[in-house]
This record gives sequence, structure tokens and C-alpha cells, in this order.
Amino acid sequence: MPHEVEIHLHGGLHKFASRARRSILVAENDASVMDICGRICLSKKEIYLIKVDGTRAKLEDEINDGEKVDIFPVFGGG
Amino acid sequence: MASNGFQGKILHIDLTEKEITVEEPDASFYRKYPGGPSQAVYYALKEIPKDVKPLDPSNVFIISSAVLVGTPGPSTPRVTISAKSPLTGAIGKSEAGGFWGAEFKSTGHDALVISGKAEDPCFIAIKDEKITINPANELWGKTTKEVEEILKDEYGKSSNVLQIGPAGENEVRYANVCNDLAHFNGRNGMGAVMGSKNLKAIVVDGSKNTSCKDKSRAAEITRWVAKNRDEDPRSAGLHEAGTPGGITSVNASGWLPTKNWQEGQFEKADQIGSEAMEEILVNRKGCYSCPVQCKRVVEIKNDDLEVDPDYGGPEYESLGSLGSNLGIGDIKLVSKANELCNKYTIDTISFGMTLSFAMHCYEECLLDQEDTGGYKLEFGNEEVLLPLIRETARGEGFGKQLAKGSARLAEEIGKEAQPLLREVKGQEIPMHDPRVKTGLGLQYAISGVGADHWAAQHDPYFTDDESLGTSTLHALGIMDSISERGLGAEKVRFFYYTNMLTLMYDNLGACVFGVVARGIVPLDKFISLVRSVTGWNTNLWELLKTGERAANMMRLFNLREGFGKEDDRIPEIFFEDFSGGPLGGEKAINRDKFKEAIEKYYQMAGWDEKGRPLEGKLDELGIPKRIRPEG
Repeated sequence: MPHEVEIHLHGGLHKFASRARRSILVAENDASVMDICGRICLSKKEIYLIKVDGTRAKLEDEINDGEKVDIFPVFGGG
Repeated sequence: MASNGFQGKILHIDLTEKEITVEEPDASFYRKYPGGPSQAVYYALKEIPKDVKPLDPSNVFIISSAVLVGTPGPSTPRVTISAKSPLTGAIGKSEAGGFWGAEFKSTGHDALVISGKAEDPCFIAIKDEKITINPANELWGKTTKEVEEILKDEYGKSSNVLQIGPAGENEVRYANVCNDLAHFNGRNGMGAVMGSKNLKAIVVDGSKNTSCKDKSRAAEITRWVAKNRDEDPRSAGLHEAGTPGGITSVNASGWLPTKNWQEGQFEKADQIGSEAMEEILVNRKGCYSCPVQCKRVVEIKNDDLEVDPDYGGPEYESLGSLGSNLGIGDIKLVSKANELCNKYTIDTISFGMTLSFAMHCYEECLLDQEDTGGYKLEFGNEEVLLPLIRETARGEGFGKQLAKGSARLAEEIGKEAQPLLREVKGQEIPMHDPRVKTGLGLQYAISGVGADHWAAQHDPYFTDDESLGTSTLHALGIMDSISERGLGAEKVRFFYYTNMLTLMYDNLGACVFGVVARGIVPLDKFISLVRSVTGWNTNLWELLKTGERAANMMRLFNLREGFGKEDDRIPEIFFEDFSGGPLGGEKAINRDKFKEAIEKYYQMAGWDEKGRPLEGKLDELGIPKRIRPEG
């Protein structure tokens, strides 16, 4: 059964994604973090860190209903 | 005669004798020293006497533009200032963007070498060949915007002003130099050297375009950047979120400097990041000929807190050093602190780090309220921030202590304070943690200017084959990804090559946010730009050598001033694990491996075991014997 996932794109990443900075995405129940990124048109090279409900996640990790996914870009120099 | 891309004139001003002379180096000089640190450190080695006290009139203050500055090429605004640093005692070298560099160059000069000391406060005005030294008694003591308005009224809206505020006048050891109110040669205390010469400002207004061999090709590359800016994650991110976009990313990773680096996560990080800033963000701006436009402009009009947008807005470094590092999580207050630092010309990194060090000492009972003039220096105490910036600029109260920088303050407090210091060669570290990017640790340790976060490229852009940086530097021979935490030969090589690359960008006048690996312009386009401006049949190899030459000249200067292998170090805290957060209990740098990496660097650089460049290396780089120190 499809479930809802909250997406938060940090540091200007939403300029790349087909999403607003904060959005709700309906995903298949076995969707992985990578699937979610693909759905919103983000590629691996644009991502530095992903957190699911505040915990560091891997691209292959599955996403569950109601979880919050924070996606951060690479950063260096300031 | 100099080639295209240069004006062919170096201006020398002796403030003691009020003497102005113009040097016209030949074309071979400019090809070897095309600008930035290559030119500035050349003159530092040549003109600054050994063992001079940095605030003595005998120190020499050098400003250098570069070959690409003033051309239609993209992201080419940079200007370098060099002198012996009053913060470190080593070579001072500090870069800035803005518009002053291009305007200065349009007066018909490539660099400015200022010696001596004016008897009374003065400012220099350069309008093409007309160069005057003028009294500045009425400007002395004024803040940067006040001075900017007065000088622009007199010299016209098209003029540009480079200047110091009260912190420079009062010789705060980390006073910076401001241009166009919102751009700074931020580090190494170059503003204090300017103040020690009684030099308040340099106003420039020129009419001479920099000649280009193929102007249309240079402009074409800029148009390409403008067209593709939003298609590249680096330039699009810089435009959209600016450097503040890094705050939440770094915090989530667990290495945001917090409370004098005792912690790597700040509970209020989202309140000082780019999204929080949007509430007060009124504009995005940039520098000369730059389509990226990464600068923030913030404004606050509350009765109790006003922030003037003419001073720009805080960068990532300032949000960290004046925010999380002090335990302060209020974007409005941090923006006000940033504005005050800009008004007075105080380096936000060194001030924030010196205050966080003092707060740490206070919490460890090494300082008390009697020492601090009554201030409760507890982390998160918002009430102390603004008054202490003002006191520091004026050299009053406890601000007089903070104005010395953290290393000097630690000496006065005693040896118990030493472990709380986070500096290299006396310069406070910027807001990046070498435990998660060891190449940065090598930058901090080996850079001639002390801890510097732009001595080379940052490791996270190269961590796998798909990383944004990896594929962009194949022309340097960097074909494979690197481990963020590795310290083997491949990491040292990565640092060595990208140190040359980054200094090359400085030498040519390009901003690191415009070119790879942090920016959008690829190396082949960049080399094409240099060729189109100069007409030289040049290549990456020749231009990288200018970076290597600058690094070696900086090393020579520091060896001459008594620095050695023992000064190539990082603060002790980085040999310890993170204390908490997602990285808690791990990531300590291995001390032996770090030492071995430094020794490996010496070998790759052609330096001996004590870190001294070998005679053959200096000969290979063509560094003239007349500017090499004896012995």
C-alpha cells in the first residue's frame, strides 16, 4: 500500500529537484531512499547526506510511512 | 612592455617621504608573477626587512590585482593584500572580491606597494595618473559607511573605496580591510598594518580598460556561466542559498563548530541557516563580472535592532564563528554582529574564535568577571556579543584583551588555557573540521598564513567517482576519488596539486566559487580564458607553476622570520574523538599518520626534512636569488 513521506531539501537543493523545498511524496511501500531521490530528479552526485527521522540513512534503505527524509548537498569552503 | 591583461605599472608610495614612483616591469615579470599572491609575496620578500615588527613603519603593505581582473571573464574580481602579519608574525596574505580591484586596475596600475608611515592620518586617491596623498583627520574614527559616503561625494559615484574602520586604526591584530562596504580581505590582520601606517583609505577611479587579446571569447565564457549557472549544483546552490546553505548540512553531519569546538552539533543550527535567513534576506549580490551572485544582503528595521543592508550579510564562516561557536542561535543577532564587524573592519572568524576561547576559559574558571570587565562570558549569553565587538574595535575594556587574538590572550592567562586554543601559527581556525576532511588539516598546518580554509580544495567533493569534483580535475592527474579521512600518499598528492591550483586561481584573479572544483567553470574553459585575455600560448602546467612559486615564496618568507617544521601543526583537539552527536566517540586524527603526511608533503614539494625548499626547487621555479633569504 502506498505511503506518505515528508521531504525536506536543504541548502538550495530544491533548485535541482522537481519539488518544493518541503513537500509530501506518495511512495510505494518498498521504496528506498534512492527511489525517492530518483522520483524528485536528484542524482547521487548532488547529495552529501541523507537523514531519515534524524538518523543517517543509506541510499538503499527502505522508507516507511510517515517518515521524514532530510537531504543535504555537499558543502566545502565558506 | 607588458602583454594584454596587464597595465604594465606597479605603483610605489612611500608615506614617510610622500614619494610616489612608478615601476614598469617587463613582460617576463608578469608572465612569472601574473598577480595575486605571486606578485604580492614577491614584493614582500623583496621589500620587507627581516625581523621587522609588523606594526612598525618598515613593514610594507602590498595590494595586487591580477591578469584576469578588469576583463570580461567570469568571477574575476580578486585582489590580494600582503604584509608581515601582526596576528601571526608570518607572511600575511588575504584575498577579497568586490569591485575595487577592477577599478584600481582601470587606473592603469597592476599593484600598489606602500611603505613608511604618514605623519598624520591620510588617504590615497588614484585617478588614472593623478595620485595624491591627502589628509584624513576628519575621516579617522569614522565607520566604513560614513567614510564611503564622504569619499564618494568627493570623488564621484563611479569611484571605489578600500578602507579600514576603527578596528584597523586601533591596530586590532585581526582587523581586516574593506572594499565597497561588503567585501573583505578578511584574514591575517592586514587592516592593522594599514592603520599602523596612518592610512585610512584608498579611493580609485580609473578610465583605462584592461586590454584583451580576444575580448569576445572572454565575454562568451561569462555568458556560458550565466546560461548554465542554474544547471550546476555548485553554482545553483551558491546562488540560491549562498554559503549559509552549508550550516544545516554541516550540522546534520555532526561537525558544526559549537561552543569553542567542544561539540559538533548545535541545537539551534536551523535558526542561523539559510532558511532562517530568508526572513531578513532582501537581495542576492555578487562581485565584479560574476554571474554566480553568491552574496547575501540582509536588512532588519526593528526599533531595538537595525541591520543596514549596505553591509551585505553573513557568510557561513561568520554564522559559525559568531553563532554556533558562541552558542548563539539567533539569526538577527548574528546578522547584527556581522554588520558591526563590517562597520569597524573586524575579521568575524578571529573575533568569534577569540571570544569563544575566552568563554571557554570563563567556564573553566580561568577567567572571572573581574578579568572580563563584568561580562558573564557564558556560551549562549547573547548580551555580551555586541558590546564586546564595539569594545574590541575601540580597544576598550575587555575588548582590549580580545583585540590581541586568542594565542596572545592564552599566553597572558597561563598554560592551563593552552589546550582550549584552536589556532595555527597564531591564526584562529575557520569553521571546518579536519577530523572529517583530513586534506583540510594539511591546509591548516602547512599554509604559510596559518589556518586557512582556502589553501586547497575540500575533500568531500572528491569522495567517490561520481562526486562533483573528481571528474573535474583529471587534467591535474587526479583521476581517482579519495577517502575523506585518509592520510596516505594519495591524500597528500591531492592536497599538493589542489594547493597549487587554488593559489593559481588567486594569482590570476579568479574566485574559487567560480571555477572547479567548487565552481562551474571547467579547467579547459578557464585556460581558454587566460589565453583569450593574454594572447599567451600558455597551458595548465605553466599556470600551476605560478601557484607553486607563490607557495614557495611564502615558505621562504616564513623561514626567514623563524618559522619551521614545528609550526606546521594543528590544534590538539583534532587528535581527539568527537565528544557527542552522530560522530561521537570517533574520528580522531592519528597523530603519527598526520606527521608522516606532512613529511610526505615536504618530499613531494622538494623541501628538506625541516621543511626548507631545496636549492634545486627554487631554481626550477625561477625564484630569483636576490629575493631568497640568506642561509
